[in-house]
Amino acid sequence: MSKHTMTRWKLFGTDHDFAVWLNDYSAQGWQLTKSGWIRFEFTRGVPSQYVYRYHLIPGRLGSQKRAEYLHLLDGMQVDVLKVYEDSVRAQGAAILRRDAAMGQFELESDLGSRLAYEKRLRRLYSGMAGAMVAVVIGLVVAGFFTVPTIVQSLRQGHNSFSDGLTAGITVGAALAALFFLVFGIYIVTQLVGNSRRVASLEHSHLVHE
Amino acid sequence: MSQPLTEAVFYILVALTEPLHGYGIMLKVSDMTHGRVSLAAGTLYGALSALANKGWLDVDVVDDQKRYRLTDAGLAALRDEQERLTELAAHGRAALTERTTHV
Repeated sequence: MSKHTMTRWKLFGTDHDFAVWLNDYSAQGWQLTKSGWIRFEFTRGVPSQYVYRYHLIPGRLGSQKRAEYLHLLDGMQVDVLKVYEDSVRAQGAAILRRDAAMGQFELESDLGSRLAYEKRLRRLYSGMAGAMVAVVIGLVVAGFFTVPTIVQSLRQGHNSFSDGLTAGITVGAALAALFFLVFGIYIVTQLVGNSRRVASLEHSHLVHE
Repeated sequence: MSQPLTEAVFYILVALTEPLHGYGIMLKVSDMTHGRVSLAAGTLYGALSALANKGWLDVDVVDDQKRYRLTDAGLAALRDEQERLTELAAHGRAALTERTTHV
């Protein structure tokens, strides 16, 4: 890998911490050039040249709603680097950036729209946390039912293909449960931060617009 | 009695006394307020969608760009808000003048 480019891997990322991660690299002179689901390529450039945001964007891929929003962003000289589609909720999440010389880069400029955006995030995180809990419970239950079979076959000294398969499924389920548990805990921490922001915005919204 | 408008919506309606596209609205509002009110993409998009749903805006497509313009209902809403703000300012001014006189 050239010293002018570098690759970094990032497994999880929600709005706030993902943007912080990208902006930290930008401050060090590394600007994002390619992005995948977990793999990101950076190129050496001018430190802090761009400000990055990771933001939910409305509408399905190819919809009029989406086109209008992207057109507005284009008019504001915002680069759309990557869009991740969420077909379940008919929306996307995008990595956006704008030249830092253009000043503050915000996607929501008043309390009402900031609050509405944070509430959208809260619904998203709550749904994800609920799904993680369901998956972990499902995997734990599935693993629990295979354990007696493994114990029994060990006692009887069996070493058949089906015993090996059952043990493999149990270990796989345990590892998957661990992965989803860690992911679930991460989502819950994001949900807590988001709930604090919602409460603070609602408090301000009582006085200011 | 109509509901008070947010500052963003008020300025969008003011800007649309002439037809404009989304980015044009943002520039005009920023220019009018000397940069104090800066409409971000999410805020502007949300407000334009809500106003179009209320029937306060009409949309024309010119050179592949959407141009927004006020409807009669939108103009009436702007007038109502203008009157409300004038009354608000008058009450504030009167209270402060009275206080200065007493002091």
